[in-house]
Amino acid sequence: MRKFCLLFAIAILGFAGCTNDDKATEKTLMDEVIKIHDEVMGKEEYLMRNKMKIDTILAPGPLSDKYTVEEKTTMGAVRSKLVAADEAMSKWMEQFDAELKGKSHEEKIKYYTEQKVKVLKIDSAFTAVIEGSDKYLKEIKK
Amino acid sequence: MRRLIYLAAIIALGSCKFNDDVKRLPIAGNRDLSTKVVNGQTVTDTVYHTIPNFKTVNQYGDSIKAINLDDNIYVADFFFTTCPSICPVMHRNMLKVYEAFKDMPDLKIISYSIDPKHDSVAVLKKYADKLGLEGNRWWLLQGKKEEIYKLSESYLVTFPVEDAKEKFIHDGYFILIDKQKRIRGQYDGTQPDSVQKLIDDIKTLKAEPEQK
Repeated sequence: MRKFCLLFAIAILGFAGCTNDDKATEKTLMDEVIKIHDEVMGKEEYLMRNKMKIDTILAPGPLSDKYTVEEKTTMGAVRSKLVAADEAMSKWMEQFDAELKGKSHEEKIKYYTEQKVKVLKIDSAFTAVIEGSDKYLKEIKK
Repeated sequence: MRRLIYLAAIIALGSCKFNDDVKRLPIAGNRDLSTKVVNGQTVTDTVYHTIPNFKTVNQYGDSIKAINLDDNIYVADFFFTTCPSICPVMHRNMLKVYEAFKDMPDLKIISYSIDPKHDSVAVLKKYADKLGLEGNRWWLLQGKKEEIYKLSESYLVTFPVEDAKEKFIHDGYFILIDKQKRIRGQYDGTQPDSVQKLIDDIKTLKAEPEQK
């Protein structure tokens, strides 16, 4: 009986240890996703500023008149890329579920891993469109 | 030597006691001098940076402009309802401010959404209900994204004596605005100590003669 109790206690402790490890792994992974999210949000401000600069140029008026139709078309395309990246982030945020109530450890790990890939892709897109728009805005400054 | 001058300026502005012996909070942003003639005498006034007008809608669907904040001290921040990181912490902390001044009718809280496409009036109302907000003391505001970002540049200016550290919309700042729409303090909304300082500073601000 005593042996049985000892084995039972070890099993319980082992299970608790496992659960704690699982939770720690889930938290680490989720924190990584949130960290990338925060970095993208920091970049969003820069992205919005570039979009607003383009909007100012494209708005009818003396500034817009300084640019050729061709330049304005290219500018419109640069603007579309900025908008697309921003919308991708909005969509990601809308669908992202940080809590995952009722999901198993395996399901949570799978979900956070997938989300990390998705948000990293958005992060790369942000970097690319910001750099592209920065370069273009410098080139066309009049 | 320059450091010493800055330090002296910070200490002087930090305490800011004027002739009436009332402790005052510093005022942020650039300032200009305006000269005019009154009764034949030239008078020079200091013109401070103020928060410009804006057009938004609150969680009840009411149109909210800067004029709706006239004669109010207010605290502003920027957030979005789907934010998984700092916003829930910020708004848990903002609830402390909301509770601390529930009997002060001329104090408002306004939270501008930076994701207006998702944060519709209905979404903002649901969020407000979840926070337990009632009445018109804390407005969650939806406006055009570009306009909110432009407006944020007016809120996130640096104090003249501070290090020139740029502040961003997603940094979680709470910004204290006085009845003249001037910035009187910026606080890290994720830090309980900083939020407590905001609560203390609101009391200090409220005691200034021109804020009564």
